[in-house]
Amino acid sequence: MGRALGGFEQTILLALLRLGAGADGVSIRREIESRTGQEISTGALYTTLERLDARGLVSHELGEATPVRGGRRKKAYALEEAGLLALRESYDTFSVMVRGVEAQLDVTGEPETP
Amino acid sequence: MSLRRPPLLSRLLLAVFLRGLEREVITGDLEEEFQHLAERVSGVDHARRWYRRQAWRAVGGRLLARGRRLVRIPAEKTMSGRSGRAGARLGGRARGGWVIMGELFRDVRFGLRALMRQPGFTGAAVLVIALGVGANTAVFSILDGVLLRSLAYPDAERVVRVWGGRALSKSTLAEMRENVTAFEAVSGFSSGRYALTGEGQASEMSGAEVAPSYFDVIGVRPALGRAFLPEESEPGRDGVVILAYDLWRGPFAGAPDIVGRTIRLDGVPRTVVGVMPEGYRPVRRSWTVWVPQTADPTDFGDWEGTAGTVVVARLAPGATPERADAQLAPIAQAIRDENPDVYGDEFVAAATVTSLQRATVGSFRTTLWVLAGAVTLVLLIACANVANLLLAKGESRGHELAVRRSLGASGRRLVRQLMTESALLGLLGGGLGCGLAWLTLWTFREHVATALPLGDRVGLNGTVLGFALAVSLVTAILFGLWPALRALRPDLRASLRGEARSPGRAGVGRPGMSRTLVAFEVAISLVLLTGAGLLIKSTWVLQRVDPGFRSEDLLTLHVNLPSGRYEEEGARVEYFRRIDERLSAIPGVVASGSISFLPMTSQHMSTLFTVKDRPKREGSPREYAMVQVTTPGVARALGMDLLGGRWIEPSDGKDAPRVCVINQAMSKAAFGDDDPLGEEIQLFGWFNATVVGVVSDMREIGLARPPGPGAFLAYAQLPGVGAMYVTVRTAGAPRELIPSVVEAVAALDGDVPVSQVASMDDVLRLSIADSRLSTAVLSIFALLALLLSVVGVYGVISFTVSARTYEIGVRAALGAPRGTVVREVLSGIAVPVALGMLAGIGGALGLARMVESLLYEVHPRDPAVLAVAAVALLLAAVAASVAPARRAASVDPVRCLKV
Repeated sequence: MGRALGGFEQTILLALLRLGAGADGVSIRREIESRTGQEISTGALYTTLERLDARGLVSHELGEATPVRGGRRKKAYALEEAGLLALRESYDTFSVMVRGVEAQLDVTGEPETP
Repeated sequence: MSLRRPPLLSRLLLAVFLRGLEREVITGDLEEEFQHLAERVSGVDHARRWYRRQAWRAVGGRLLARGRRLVRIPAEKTMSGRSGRAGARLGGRARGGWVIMGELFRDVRFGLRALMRQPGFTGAAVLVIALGVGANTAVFSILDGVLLRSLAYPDAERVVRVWGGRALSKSTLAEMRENVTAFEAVSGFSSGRYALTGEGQASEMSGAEVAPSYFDVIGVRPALGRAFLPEESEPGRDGVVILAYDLWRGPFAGAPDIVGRTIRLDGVPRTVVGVMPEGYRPVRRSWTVWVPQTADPTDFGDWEGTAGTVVVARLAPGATPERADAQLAPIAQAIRDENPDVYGDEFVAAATVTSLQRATVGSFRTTLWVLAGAVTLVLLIACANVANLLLAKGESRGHELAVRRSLGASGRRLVRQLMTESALLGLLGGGLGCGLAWLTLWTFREHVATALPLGDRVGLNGTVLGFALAVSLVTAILFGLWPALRALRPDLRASLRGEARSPGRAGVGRPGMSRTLVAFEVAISLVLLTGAGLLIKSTWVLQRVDPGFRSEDLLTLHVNLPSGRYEEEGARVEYFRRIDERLSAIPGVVASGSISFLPMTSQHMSTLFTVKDRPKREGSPREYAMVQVTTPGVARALGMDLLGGRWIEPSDGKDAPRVCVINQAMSKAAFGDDDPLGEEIQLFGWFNATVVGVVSDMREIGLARPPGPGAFLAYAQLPGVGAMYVTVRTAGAPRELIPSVVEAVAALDGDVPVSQVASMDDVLRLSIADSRLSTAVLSIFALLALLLSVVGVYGVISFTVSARTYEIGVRAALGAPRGTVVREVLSGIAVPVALGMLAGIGGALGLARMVESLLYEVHPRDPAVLAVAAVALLLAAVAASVAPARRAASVDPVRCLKV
């Protein structure tokens, strides 16, 4: 296994997991923004996706050009098996580390669903 | 589909900084979301803001990422001269458009290292560029500050001096105000000196009496309080004053209640009504107080040149100076017709307006342009030298370039590499040059600026720095281009065969270019040397002009009797008599006396004179005389030569017959060869005096101004002025007596301000400070040029010798006499030097007219100066050749053939 995932990488992978195969940049960004309520940079999104792609955690294929994109093609991403594994590992690390300190983090209750 | 477009700049940004698929995908995403936001969510404005934000962040992130990656590139890769496309392939898709930036970065790093490997070459080139750029930046800063930037007044180009700044009567001023519609406002001023009393030790202020609407003309109004009201120019209502900001902050400690306070100027109480804004400084004047000019005729009557007003005006919007001139003409004509005895045709002809800036900078303009021309020539020489250095270097790198070329480096790549090195040289030199310029300007401000009009406005600014940077870059790139282009078509086989080691042949094409450059340098140096020589000779002549009095061992100071005091009859005369009395008690004082205007200070008073019983001959020019009012001791103190009759004596009191002493020029002008003694002349139109003596001529206005008619009157008979210069002849160094002299004057009356204490030698030196300054600066430029040419000559011979070492060695081994070899080496440079000298002589003769107005009694084509300059240059060239020629003579055949 490669190095541990960064926070933004986890967020993107989780977004892909939610969206299923074929999610493009726009939908990934919207998914993250609508859930976290924070604007993210498209540039940063692609930089990170490229990195994940290079590590084999996600894969992409080129989509068709649409008029709404000014005739430009899009990239559709899918979560790979390795990506899923990496996410699980991150989750394990997180849950192990968070156990017993939930009270201090004030996260004992169920997280609010948007 | 909607026609809404995302912000243009942001789209450009993305197009420029992103490449390939990345650009397509990101731009597509942003476009899609932009349309989505604009149409369905939050409107176009928000969408545009969003797009902009996203675009900048995308580009910014990529810049940072690429920057980090570039720094990590191992340097060795950069030296292979890999082409851009190959680099892009190897760098992977992420590198994209960053290849160009990356290569530039690598070129810079490699260039820096290459420059550091040759500290000698780099140091020389950087220094040469720095000298050229530094001198240019400094001179152009001065030009910019003094000439190009306008004065501190709003719409300064509309502020004009009328009648060339000639003093006019106040009634003329009123007439102009009425009839010249080209003027928005007309006013006038006369400068004066005022004793400020009642605020501690009495001090003398320089100030101006200003006519109404003066502040409208200059367009600057007091920052505190108000300007003068029109009625304040009426006698009796003029007890008001406006202060300079510095005076308010200084002696008055910035008192907040200053407006409304009463101060005493010349003993007269005046209410402060305003304070001028900070930073407002009258041009070329050190005025700190302004008082209203009253409509009262002054003591001397209303004559031109005696107690008049310098007229200034503000042109109405859209009015041209020509229109003003046309409207002035009838007024001038009328004045002339009314006073035919006083005014002549030249008065009418002089009725014109001049821009205040032009009038202010005046004669210094020529000097500055000459210096600018000179410094540009210095820069040209510097360029030629840099070119020579780069050529030499390009030649010595022929082998390296050939190797890289043959290993597959593209020509474009090599040229870019060489150009980068040149640009780096330019930048380094330019940076150092800016430092030099800053240093020069600092020195200039600290030591010279006060002697120069507007000198305090000089400083480095963005324009000038940009200019300097552009000059250095263009110099380096332009002259780096030629060797770089040569590198494109090197004789690969020759270079690789090792013939670079015997560059006698490899460098065949180069010496021609180098020699041309040397000829060019020599020519320009000669022009500059000649110019400097002319100025040096002129200053030398000027300094040896006999002023008509003995300036050594002479101490001078200015006293100004406050006008509120010493008003009773005879009080002033008594004051100056007692000064002489007290001064004569000081050991070391030989003689003393007072005079109204100190020679060499440009101040003077002139008036028309007529001779009694000699009607003015028809058609003869009216004669003006410079009038001095003096006490009896002055002739001895100044050391004037009495040619006949007697000097003014204590017995020439106010009740005695009025007498005057005239100078030779006046005697000649008024009486021709007749004996003037006993004749009666009239001055100011009302003052009749009998000539009792004739003295030799004295240069009163300045050393360069030949003496004109002059008359000396007895102070006791005309004690109208309270401000006089006391002159003290001393037995030894005058400066040592300063404390006791000042103390003696102050002890007589502490309320009388004493100023301008100086030795007459210093006054003389100051009076020719302008010409000394330009001489010094031009000499420095000429020396710089000489130095650079010497470097150029040395460089060329040096290169020839090292390039021909192999050949010389062979010939020496075959028995060629050393003398022949040396002669051959030297003859290579003799031709360009000789040609350069010829061109230089031509140039010097051609440009002679430019410096003509700066010269005093030296012909601009002075053959002696030209000869000296040429010989100096020749000697310098010979000196530069000695070392390399000796090297040629001592080539050891064994060593150079063994390779």
